[in-house]
Amino acid sequence: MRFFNRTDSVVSLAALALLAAVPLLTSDNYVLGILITAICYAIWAGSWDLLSGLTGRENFGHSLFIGAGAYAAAYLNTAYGIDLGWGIVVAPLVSGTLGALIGLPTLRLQGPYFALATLVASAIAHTLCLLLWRVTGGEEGLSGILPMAGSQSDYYYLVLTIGFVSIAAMKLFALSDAGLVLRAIGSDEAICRAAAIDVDAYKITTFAFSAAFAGLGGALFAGYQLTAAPDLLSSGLSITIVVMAYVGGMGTIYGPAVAALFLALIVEYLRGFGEYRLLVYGLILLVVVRLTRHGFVDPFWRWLKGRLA
Amino acid sequence: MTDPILRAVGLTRAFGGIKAVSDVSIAVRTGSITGILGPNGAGKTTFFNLLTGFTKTGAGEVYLQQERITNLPPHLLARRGLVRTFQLAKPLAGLTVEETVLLPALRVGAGQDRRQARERAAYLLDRVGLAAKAEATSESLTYGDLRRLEIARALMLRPKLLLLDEPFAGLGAGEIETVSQLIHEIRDREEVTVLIIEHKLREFFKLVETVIVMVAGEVVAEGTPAEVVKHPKVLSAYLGERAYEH
Repeated sequence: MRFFNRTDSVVSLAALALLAAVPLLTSDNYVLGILITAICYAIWAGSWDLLSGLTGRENFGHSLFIGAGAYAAAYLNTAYGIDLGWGIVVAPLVSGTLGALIGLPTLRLQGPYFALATLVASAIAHTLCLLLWRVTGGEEGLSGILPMAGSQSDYYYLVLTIGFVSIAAMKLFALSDAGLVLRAIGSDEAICRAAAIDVDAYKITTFAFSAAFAGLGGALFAGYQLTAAPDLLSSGLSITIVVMAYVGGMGTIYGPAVAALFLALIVEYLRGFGEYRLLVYGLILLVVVRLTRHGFVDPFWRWLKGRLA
Repeated sequence: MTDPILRAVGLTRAFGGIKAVSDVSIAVRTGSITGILGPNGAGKTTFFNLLTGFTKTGAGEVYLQQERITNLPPHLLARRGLVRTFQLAKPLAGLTVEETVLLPALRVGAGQDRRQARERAAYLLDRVGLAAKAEATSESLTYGDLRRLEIARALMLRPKLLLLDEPFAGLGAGEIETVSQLIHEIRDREEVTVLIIEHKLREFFKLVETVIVMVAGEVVAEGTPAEVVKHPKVLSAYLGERAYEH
């Protein structure tokens, strides 16, 4: 029972088909734009879950890796004219390396150091981004990225493909032996060390993967906005992603990804509430987090599968 | 006589000026069941932590089969056959009983064939009497089950030296008997040397061949259980107060 069962596979492929059909039903760039954004959030929340959900070591600076990926791709394009496609390849490498560098000293420590270090690192990156405006464009960000695809729907298919493959890859990783070891690490590090497991290497490597996927999503998002903006480095974004992971059900990868997809869409559709939008959003989150211990998406899916079986 | 499997020489560790372990030198005979006895706060667990790399030493050296292993990290020591259990047996949340035993074989580079590893895990679960609960979550086990599960997981690593930190803690009389038998079997069939920390005197003395007595961070006596109980320092420092409880 370690790998995808049939229902999970069929349903995830059906969801993919449904999302793939959207451009056939509407040519509205606004709708596709919202979906591209939502898929980026899904990658970010899923990648956050890879380390933090599985091991319980909470990363409060995921935006650092998202922003680093976005800025890497944007900078290569705007400063050197390097195609965005290469930016999407390079961004995960940049973010993954950053993740390893930050994880190396902090993931060895017990206690809240990792959470604090990631929070502070992203805050520093955000400030540096504003200070080094000659390079980063300051508040304006780096704009003028040359679009990669001819149309919005072409780019949508690229994002959907990369997003689906990324989330599936992360889910398979979580279901693999490595994922099992990470969950054991999350439960008791000392037992794992005594079981001959190099706990630090596992955590740091996984953090690098987590950061790399965040950077990939960052580059995809910058490629949609055609801008890398300092908002992508903000703590607000990190916290949003943590909340999405909680709502989805930590440690399940698909849960946070699906929650992110829905929450990103809900935020858009709540625009009708005007000023009260975030209040309503906050209330929904409050109810979900208060009423459910393991989030909403994963328990709901288990319940549904139980009813179908 | 064969060389000792483990030697500690002048092992010392202080916490905030208080010496938890002070200049402790011991040798553990290969193939023996050796016990470390001492009242609470005698530094037994700290001593285990120093041997297994969980706590850095202040001074002194540790040798495993003549090889210096002082301050190597725990996971590397475990790979060399120095394997420990913990005073408090804890479940691994979300893992089944079988997965918990398999854990040492799942790491990258464990180099164990999956099928063989599963067979070994099944064999060990059977040995500790948990075969019927292989699919259960480890959180659903009783404390006695968890103790035996922990021993099975340790054996998965095919240890040369197994360090058991209070294996009887929290167990009832029947369970203590089971674990005692298990420890004997392990030594005989798996050719594992066993080093045990315990409080429970009666069962402990039945089980071990050599006893090392620690009081306030120092070794005060060493010998067979029969010799040790007569040792004046042991009587005054340890048994003097504990005898009433047993």
